[in-house]
Amino acid sequence: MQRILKTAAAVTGFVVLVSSSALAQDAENGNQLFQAKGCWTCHGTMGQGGRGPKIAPGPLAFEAFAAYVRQPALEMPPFREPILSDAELQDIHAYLLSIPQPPDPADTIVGQ
Amino acid sequence: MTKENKGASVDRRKFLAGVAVAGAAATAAPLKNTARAAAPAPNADRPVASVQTAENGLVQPGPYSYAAGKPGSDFMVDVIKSLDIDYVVTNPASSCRGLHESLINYGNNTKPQMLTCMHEESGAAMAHGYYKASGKPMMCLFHGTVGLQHATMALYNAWCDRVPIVVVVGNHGDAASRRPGVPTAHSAIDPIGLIRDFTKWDDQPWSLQHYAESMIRAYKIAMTPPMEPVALSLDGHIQEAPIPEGSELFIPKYTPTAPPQGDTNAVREAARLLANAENPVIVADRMARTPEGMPLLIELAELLNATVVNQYNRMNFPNTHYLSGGGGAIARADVVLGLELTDFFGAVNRFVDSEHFQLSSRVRPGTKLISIGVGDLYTRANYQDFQRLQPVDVSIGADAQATLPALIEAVRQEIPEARRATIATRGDNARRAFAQARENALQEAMWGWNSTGKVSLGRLASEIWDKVKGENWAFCGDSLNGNVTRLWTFDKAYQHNGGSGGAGVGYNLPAAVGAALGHREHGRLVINVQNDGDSMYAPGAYWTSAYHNIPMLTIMNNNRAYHREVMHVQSVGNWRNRGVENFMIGNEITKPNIDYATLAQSLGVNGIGPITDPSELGAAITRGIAMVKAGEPALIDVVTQPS
Ligand code: HEC
Repeated sequence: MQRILKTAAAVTGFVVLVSSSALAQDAENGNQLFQAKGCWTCHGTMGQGGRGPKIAPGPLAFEAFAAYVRQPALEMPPFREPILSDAELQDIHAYLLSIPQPPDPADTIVGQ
Repeated sequence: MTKENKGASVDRRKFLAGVAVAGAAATAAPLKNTARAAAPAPNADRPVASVQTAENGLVQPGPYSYAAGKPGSDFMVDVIKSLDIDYVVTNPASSCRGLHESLINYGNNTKPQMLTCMHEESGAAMAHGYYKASGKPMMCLFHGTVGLQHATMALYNAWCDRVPIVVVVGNHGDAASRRPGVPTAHSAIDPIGLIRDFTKWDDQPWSLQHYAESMIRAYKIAMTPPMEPVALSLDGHIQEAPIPEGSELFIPKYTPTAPPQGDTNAVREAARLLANAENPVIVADRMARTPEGMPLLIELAELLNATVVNQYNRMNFPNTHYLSGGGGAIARADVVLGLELTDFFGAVNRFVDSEHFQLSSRVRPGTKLISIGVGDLYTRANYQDFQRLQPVDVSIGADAQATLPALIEAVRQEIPEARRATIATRGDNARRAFAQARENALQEAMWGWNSTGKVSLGRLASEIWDKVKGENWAFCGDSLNGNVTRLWTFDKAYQHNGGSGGAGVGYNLPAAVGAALGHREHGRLVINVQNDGDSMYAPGAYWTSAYHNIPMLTIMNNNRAYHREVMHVQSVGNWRNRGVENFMIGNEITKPNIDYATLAQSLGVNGIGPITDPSELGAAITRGIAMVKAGEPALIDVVTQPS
């Protein structure tokens, strides 16, 4: 259902209101999955990177994102259908989309 | 020899005469010491077992007396002092008791001073870290067999990292004269055999003069590139017995061996390739043996405007220099100069650890490879630290630092006039790329900036840097996923203490204590970024830092797991489509979480934390630095994101 709403949201302003709360729900579920499925161990709990690269904020578009997770080219272990469903992958992507931009370095000790 | 000693040695002769009589008598009455015929009559009280044995006359005559004369181990101290060794790190052991006593009472526990460690592995790692910070080797005084068994991994690390350490182990070779029981169980025919695969030379001297020669030889071999650990097995009896009368002992002079310099023709060929290259790249690993190494490399790099990739096992090149670049530069090179690379293969090939074995070249076809290093001059067979064989175009078996002046001169002569403009353009491009990389690093430090519960590594590195950048500092430990080497400015030879060499975990904490000792006399603020798993192999090193007043600020990078292993298990689970849900089993360090601040406090080190909110970091680091500046070690436990 949520997925249908999301698709609809792209074309009608009316559904956007409905879907934004649905999206928030997905993102929350995605956050749980991101931790439970262990993405955080290589990408950090906020997707900021670690052994693997930064994947949020500003993740890849869903198709490219899903394609990589299903069949990575290099060191990342593949998360195939039996261990991560399409719906779960969507929610993880929603979580990564929900991660806000970090502060500007100039506004912190880094820029001083 | 003093008057008393003379008298004592006469007594000893008398004693030996008595033994001879006893020996003759023993034929008729075994185990009966007839020299003790006038033993007192049994006393009325019930004696303890040892007294009973004596009273029953069951004492076997000994082959020696330790009571008289100048002890052999005093001479051993004279030899050690002749080498100007500052510290002897030990975990006390009966097989070394003769030398231990001489070091403190005859040698006055100065030059060398004894350092007490709580595990031989920590002792060897301290010596390892100390050498890299001070340029001086330590002596390790360990129990043979079980003590050396403890020390082995740390010595393997030092071997892989080409660090000289003089290991001395106590052993009792003569079955007839050694103490029975534990000392006998801890004796061996060949105690050093255990570490021979990763030491450069060893010996088991059979006299004091033999010892003097071997000690000087051991030191000399350890200090000649490739520098490596060496070991001596010191017989307990030779340590404890008086110097035999009439001995004319002398200490051979130590003259350092000049390191080998590259063959002139080979150096010229290398210079020709570099001078004519479109895009030369220099990769340096264990090149800068001394502080003079860095300015030499700067000179060579600037002459060519060649990007330098510093692998950080030595402080080869400043990361503030516009020619300092990342490993990606290798892919664009047409000539790669490798300086003291243990793993040239790894530098120019890429292995991807995935479901399918993936190995590919990082360099373009036709790229010329030049190697200068001592790795080809000395290799052992068993352990595979020499890595895969990388065919190269010019292979110079020589010490890279010693060869750089000749190479610089040759490059200067070989650069064709027509090349100078290209070289200058390369410099301009490098400056732009460097500025861009710096900007990116600052941006990347911000990712996960406000992460609470687990502090991001970019944030942690930035918060520490904010407090230390105005200080005279030196860094040891984990670079927080490269954030430290990206965000801090390393431009002095002593500022980075490199890695473990053999990746044997448990190295960093004691090595940092050793490094901090090396930095102490220079008043440097030592920052040790300490991984939690590493510190729990032998946390007694905290106590050593407190006991010996070695100030150092440890920042615990506490990710509460053996995280690298988490990732390995996850990978295998996914390859097998079994998922990752169970990945923490066998890998986590939680339930209970270790309270490092309290642990540190119990060992005499100031403890702060655990910190999970990054906004608290700044104040905590300020407090920690104040403690360290007051001369005390301190620890701040920070719960972190994995790296
Ligand atoms: C064991 C470590 C590891 C785990 C676990 C892991 N990744 Fe990765 N990931 C990597 C690495 C390393 C890369 C870089 C490319 C490579 O080596 O495959 C990567 C790359 C990616 C990329 C491509 C990024 C880009 O910009 O090209 C995405 C997307 C991604 N990971 C998402 C995920 C998600 C979602 C999960 C959890 C379901 C996950 N990863 C779990 C290690 C990991």
